[in-house]
Amino acid sequence: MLVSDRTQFNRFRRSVVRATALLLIFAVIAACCFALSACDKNKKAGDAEKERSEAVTAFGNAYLSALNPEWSLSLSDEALLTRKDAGDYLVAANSVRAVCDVLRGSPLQTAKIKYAATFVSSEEGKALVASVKDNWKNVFTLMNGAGLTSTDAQYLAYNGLLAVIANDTAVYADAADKLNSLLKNVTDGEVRTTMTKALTEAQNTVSCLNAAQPSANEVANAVKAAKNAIEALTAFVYDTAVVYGGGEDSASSFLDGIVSGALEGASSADAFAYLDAALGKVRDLSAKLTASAADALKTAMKLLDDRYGGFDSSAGGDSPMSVFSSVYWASDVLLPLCDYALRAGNVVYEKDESGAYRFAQKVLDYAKTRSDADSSAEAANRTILTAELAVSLYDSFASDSSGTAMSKVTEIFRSYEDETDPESLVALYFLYFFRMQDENPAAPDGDYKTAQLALLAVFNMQRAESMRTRYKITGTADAAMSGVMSSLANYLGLSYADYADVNVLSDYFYSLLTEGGVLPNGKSVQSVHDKLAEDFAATKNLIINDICDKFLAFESDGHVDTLRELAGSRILTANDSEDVTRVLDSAATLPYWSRVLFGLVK
Amino acid sequence: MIFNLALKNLKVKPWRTVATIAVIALAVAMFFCMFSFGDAVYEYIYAVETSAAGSSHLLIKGRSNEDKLAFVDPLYSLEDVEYVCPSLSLYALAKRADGESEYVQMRGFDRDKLQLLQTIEAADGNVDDLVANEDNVAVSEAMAERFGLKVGSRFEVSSLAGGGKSVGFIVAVIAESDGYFLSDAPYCVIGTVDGGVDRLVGGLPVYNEIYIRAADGKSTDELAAEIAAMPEYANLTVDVSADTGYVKTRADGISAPVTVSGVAVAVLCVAGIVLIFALGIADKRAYASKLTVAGATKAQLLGIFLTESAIIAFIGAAVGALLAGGVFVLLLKAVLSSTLTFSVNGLLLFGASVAGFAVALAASLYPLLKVFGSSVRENLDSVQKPAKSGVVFAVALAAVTLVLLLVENLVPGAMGVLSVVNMILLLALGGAVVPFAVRGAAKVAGRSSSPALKVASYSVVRERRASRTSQTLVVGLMVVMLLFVSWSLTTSIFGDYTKEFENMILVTNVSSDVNLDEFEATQGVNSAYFTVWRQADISFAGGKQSTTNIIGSDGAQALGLMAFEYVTPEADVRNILESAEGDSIVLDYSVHELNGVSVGDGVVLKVGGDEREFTVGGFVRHNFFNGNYVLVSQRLLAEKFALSPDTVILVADSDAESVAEAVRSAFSDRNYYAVPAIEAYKWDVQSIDSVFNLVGTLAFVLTALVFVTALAGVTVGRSLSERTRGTLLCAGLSKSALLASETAEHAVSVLTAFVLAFLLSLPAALCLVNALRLFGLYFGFMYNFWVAVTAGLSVSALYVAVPYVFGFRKRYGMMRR
Repeated sequence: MLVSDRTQFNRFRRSVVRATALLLIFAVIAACCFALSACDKNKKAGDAEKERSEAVTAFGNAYLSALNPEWSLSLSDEALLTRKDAGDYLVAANSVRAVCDVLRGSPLQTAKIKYAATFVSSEEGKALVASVKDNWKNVFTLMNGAGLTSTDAQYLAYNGLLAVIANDTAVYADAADKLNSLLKNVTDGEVRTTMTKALTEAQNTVSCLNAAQPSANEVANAVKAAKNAIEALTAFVYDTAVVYGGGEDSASSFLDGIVSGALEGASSADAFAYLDAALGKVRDLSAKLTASAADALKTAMKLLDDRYGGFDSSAGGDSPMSVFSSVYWASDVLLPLCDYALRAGNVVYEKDESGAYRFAQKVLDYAKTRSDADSSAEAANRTILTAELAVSLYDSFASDSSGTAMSKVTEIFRSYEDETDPESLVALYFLYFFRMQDENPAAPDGDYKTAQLALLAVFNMQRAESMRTRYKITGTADAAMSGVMSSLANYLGLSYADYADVNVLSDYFYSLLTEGGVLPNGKSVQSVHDKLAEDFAATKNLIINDICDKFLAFESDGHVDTLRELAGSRILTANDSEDVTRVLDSAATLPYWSRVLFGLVK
Repeated sequence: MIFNLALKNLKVKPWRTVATIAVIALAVAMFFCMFSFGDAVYEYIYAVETSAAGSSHLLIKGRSNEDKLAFVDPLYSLEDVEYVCPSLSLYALAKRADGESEYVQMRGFDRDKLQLLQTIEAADGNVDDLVANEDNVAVSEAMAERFGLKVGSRFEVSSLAGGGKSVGFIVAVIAESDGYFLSDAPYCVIGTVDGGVDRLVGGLPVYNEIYIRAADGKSTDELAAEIAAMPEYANLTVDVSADTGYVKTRADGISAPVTVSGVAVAVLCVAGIVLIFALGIADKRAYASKLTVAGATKAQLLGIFLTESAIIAFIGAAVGALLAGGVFVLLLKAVLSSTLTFSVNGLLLFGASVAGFAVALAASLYPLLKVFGSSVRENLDSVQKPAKSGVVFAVALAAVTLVLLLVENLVPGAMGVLSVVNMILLLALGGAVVPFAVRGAAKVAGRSSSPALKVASYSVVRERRASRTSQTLVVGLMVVMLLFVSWSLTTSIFGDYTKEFENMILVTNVSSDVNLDEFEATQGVNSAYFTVWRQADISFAGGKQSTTNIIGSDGAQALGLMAFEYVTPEADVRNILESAEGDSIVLDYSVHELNGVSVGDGVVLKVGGDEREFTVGGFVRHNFFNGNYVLVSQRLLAEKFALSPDTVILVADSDAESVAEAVRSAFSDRNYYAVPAIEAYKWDVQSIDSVFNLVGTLAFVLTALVFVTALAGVTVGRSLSERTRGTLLCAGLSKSALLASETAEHAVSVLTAFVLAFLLSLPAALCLVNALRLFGLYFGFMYNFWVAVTAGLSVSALYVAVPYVFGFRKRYGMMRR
C-alpha cells in the first residue's frame, strides 16, 4: 500500500513537473513573441516617424531651393561664410524651419508632404513660390498644386499663423546671433559688408517687433479666439480658388468659374446641381460665420495688422502681410455678403412653366456658347446673367416686410450712421469713392473732398507705417516715404513751411503726426487719428446719404426695370448681333457705378 | 437494468460503436451540406451583387444621354424613407507603381454616410481616418497589391471628364474583401465627396447616384413610383438598387446540379446507415438468442436494442450536427470568402439531425425483425432462410426504372420531378442488382487456381456482409461519379459562357451619335456594335417570370456577336430583327424547353419599371447567360421603352486587354470607359469560379466521406469475421495469403460495384441534367467519361488498398473467443 502510494505520488509529482515545465516554456515563448511584436511595432512607429521627418526636411529644402537654387536647410557655416545673401538665407531658413515644425505636427499625410516637396521642386512650383511674395493669393494655387486639401489649408492657415506669431522675433533673433558668430570668421570684404548690414537689419527687426503693439501673446490669443472663423474663411476661399480659379469677387467671375468647370455635356438639371452645390458652399460659410465669429475674426485681423502691418513691404497691397488688413476690412461685410449671395442665388431655384430650372438652363447655354461667341456676345450674356442675379437680390428684399427693396438696402448703409471708428467706415468710403463714382468723376470739393482726403489719409497712414518700419530696419528710406509723410502733414493742414526744418523721416515727425504735438515753430499739430475721427464723423452722413440716394435713384429712375428687361433676355450667340447690341446699349444706360459694382465694367 | 445492458453492449465492441456513430454523424453532415449548398451560394452571390448597393432598396442614377447628376434635397422630405445616401461614382484612371494606368471606380459619400450602405472592415489602417482628410480613401487588398500601395501611400487618379484632371489620394485603409469590396472590378476606391472625389469633376460636391432605403412596411415599388413621378427625377433612372431576382436565378443555376445530386447523397446516407446496422445483424441475433435463453421477454429485448440504437443514433446525430455546421461554414469561408458571414440554417441542421436519428433508429429495427422472425437456434447460428424475393425485387425494379426512364425522356413535359425519382430508382437498382453481380463475379474469380482468390470468392459468396458492403459501394460510387459529373457540368456550362466574353470589349459612356467606323479603325478591333445591353424581367403566359439580358442592336447586328445556333432558320431570324414593323423578338431555345413558349406566343418584358408586350418570333441557341437573353431590334426598344443604344461592344481579334488599351489611347480625349468584358464581369466570373471551387471541394469531401463510410462498414464487418480468419490461419493459410484474399475480396466487391455504378451513372447523369429543369435550366446531355471513371477508379483503388494501408496483417492471430 505504501509503495503503491509512493509510486502514485512520484507519478503525480513527475506529471506536475512536466506540466510546470511546459507552462514555463509556453510562457517564455509567449513573452518572446510579445516582446518581438512590441519591438516590431515600435520599430514600425519609429520608421514612420523617420520617414515623415525626412519628408518634411525634403519639403523645407525644396522650398528654400525654390527661393534660391543654392539654398538648403543644411547649408553649413563654412558655406555661409562666403555668401553675400547669408542674412536673407538665415531669415528664410528659420522661417521655413518654423513652417516645417508645423508640417511635422500636422495631420498632413507623409506621402502628401513628399509630393508637396516634389511639386515645389518643379518649375511650376518654383514659379509659384517666387510669386507668393508679390501676390499672397498665389499661395492657394501653390497649395492646390502641391495636392493640399481644404482640411490641410485650414490647418496650415490657423497653425501657420500661430507659428508665425510665436516665432516672429525668434526668426530674426536667431539669424542675428548666427550672423554675429559668422562675422568673426568672415574674411571677404564684400561678404562682411552685406553680412553686417543683414545683422543690423535683423537686430532692428527684433527691436521693432519687441516694440510693436499689441504683444505677440495678445495677438496669439485673439487668433485662437477666432479659430473657427479663420478656418471657415480659409476653407471657403481655398475651395473657391480651386473651383473658380481665384477670380475676382464679382458675379460674372462666379459665373465664369462655374461654366469653366465640368459642365461640358451637362443637362440643365446637371447645371442646376452644380449651382446648388456652389451656393451650398456659401451657405456653409454663412452658417459657420456667426456674428460673434465675425467679430472675433475682425479683432484678430486688427491685432495682426497692428502688429505686422508695418512690415508690409509691397506698394500694391498684395504682400502676405497685407492679407490681415484686407480680411479685417472684409470681415465687416462678410456676413452681409454671404446673405446677398444667397439672396441673389435664389434665382437658381426658379422654374419655368415646364418645371425646368430656367436659370440653370441659361447658365448652361452660356457655357456652350462661350467658345463660339465673340467678345460682344459674351459681354452681353454675362450682362444678362448678372442682371438675373441682381434682380433676384433686389426682389428678395422686396419680399421682406414693408417698404421698397432699395429702402431696405439703404437701411444697411444707414446702420453705419452710429459707427464712430474710422477704420470701420473705411469699407463704406472705399465703396463710395472707388466703386460708386461716375465714369469720369469731377474732382470732389467741399465735404466730399474732406471725405476723400480722409480715406486717402487712412491708406497713407498704412503706407507710412510700413515705410517707417522698413526705414527703421534698413536705415534706408523708401523714395516715396517723404512724399507720404508730406501728404499726411498736408492732410493735417500743415504747409511745407511749417515743417521745413523738420526731418520728415524722423521719429519726432512721425510721433507728431500720430500723436499730435507742437512744431518747432510753435504751431500745434493735431494727430492724424483725431483728424480722421473728426473728418469721418463730419462726412459719414454725407457719404451714407449719397450712397443711399444713388441706390434709391437707381430704383426711382427705372433702372431696376432695365435690369429686369436684361434678365428676361435669352442667351445670345455671335449670330444675334442685333440683340447683342440691344443688350449692351441697354446695359450702357445703367449708371456707371452700378455697372462697376456688378462687374460689367473692368 | 435495460439501460445498463444496452450500455454494456456498446462498450463490448467499442470500434463498432464508434464506426456506427461515425457513419450516422457523417450522414447527418452530408445531408446538411448538400441541402445547404444552394442557400450558401445564394448568400455569396447576393453579397457580391449587392456589394455596391448594400442595404438600400432603390437607386436613382444618371443616364448617359440625359441628366447625369441628381438633386438630393427633395428626397429628404419624403415619408417612409429610412435613409437617403447620395454618392458620386466615377470611373477614372489610376496610376500603378509601374507607371501604367488602370481603371478604378471612385465612389464618394458624405462624411457621415461612408458606412451607411456597407461596413468597411480594415485589414490595415484605421477606418476613422477616412474622414480625417478629404483625400483619404479605402482600397481593397487586391488593389493594394496590384498597385503596390500600403497605408499612407499616395496615388494619382485622372478623371475621364473635366479635361483629364489629375488629383492625388492617400490610402488610409486597406479593406478586407467584404462589403463594398466584394465586387471589385474595376477596383473600388471609397472616399468622401466634398473635397475628395468631387475634385475629379470640378470641385463642387455633386452626386450622380442616390441610394434609398424604404422604411419598414413601405412598398419598394410604391416608393420608386413616387420618386419617379417627381419632376426632379423625370430624366433619371429610378430602379431597385440590386436585382435580387437575378441573384436567385444565378444562384439556382449554379447550385442546381449539386442540389439535385443531393438527392443521391441522401440515398447514400440512408444506405450507409442501413448497412452499418445490417452488418451487425449476426451479432445481434446471437445476443438476442442468449438473452432469450436467459429468460428475457420480447419487450425486454426490444427495450435493450432500442435503447442501444437510440443512444448511438442520438450521439451520432449530435456529433453530426456539431460537425456539419462548423465544417460547412469553414469550407465556405475557405473557398468562397473568408470575410463573408455565412449563416447556418438552424432548421435544416435540426432537420438533418432528426432525419439521421430517425433513419438510424429505423435501420436498427431491421435486425430486430430478423430476431423476432427466427427461432433461438436460428438466431444463434445466424441461419438465413433462402429467399428469392431479392431477385424478384431487382427484376421488378429494373423494369419499373426502365419504363419510367422511357416516359421521362419520350413524354413531353415529364422531365423534372420524374427525373429526380428516376435518379433515386437507379441508385436503388444499383443497390438491388449489385449483390448478384458481386456473387457472380466472385464465382468467376473462384475458378482461379490462386488460394487467395478462392478464399475471397468463398467469403464473398457465403457472407452477406460482402453484399451489403457492395451495396454501399455501388451507391457511393454512383454518388461520387454524379458529384464529379455535376462539377464538370457546372464548370463546362459556365466556363463556356465566360469564354464568349474573352474577345469582347465594352465601351460605355458614349454619345448617341458615336461613329463605329472610328472604333473599327483602331488596331485590333475586328468589329463594333452599338447596342443596348441591360437587364430586364421577362414574363411568360402562366405567370412564370425570370430575369434576362436584353441585347438590342440595329437590325440583326447582334447576331454577329457570337456563334448562335439557329433553331429558327437564320434568314427568318434576320428578318425578324431587321423588320421595320411588328413586335417580334428572338429568344433562346431553352425558354421553349423550360416554359413551353412557342413562336407566336406573347411575352412581357419589364425594363426600369415599364412593362411592354412582345411576340416570340423565333429561337436561337447559345450558352450565353445560360440562355437568359433576348435579341431585340433597336427600333422596338426605342418604340416601346424609349431606350437608345449606350454601349459599344467591340470584338477584338487579339488579346482583349491590349486592344482595350489601344482604344483608350485612341480616344483619350473623350469620356469613354473601355474595358475587356471579362474584366467588366471579373467579379461575376470570380464569384462563379469560387462557387466552382466549392462544388469541386464538396465533391472531394463527399468522396472522402463515402470512403470513410465504406471503411466503417469494413471495420464492423471484419469484427464479425474474425473467427473465420482465425480458423483459416489455423488451417494453414499464411498471413500473406490471407491478406491477399482480403484484398481480392475488396477488389471483387469494389470493381464490380464500379462497373455497375459506371453503367448506371450514365442514365443517372441524364436524369440529373433533366432534373435541372426544376430550376429553370435547360441543357443538352453532358457526361465527361474520364471524370466519372477517374473518380470511381480512385475510390476503388483506395478501397482495394485498405487491407495493406490499414495493416490488417498485423492483427491476424489464431485467437479464440
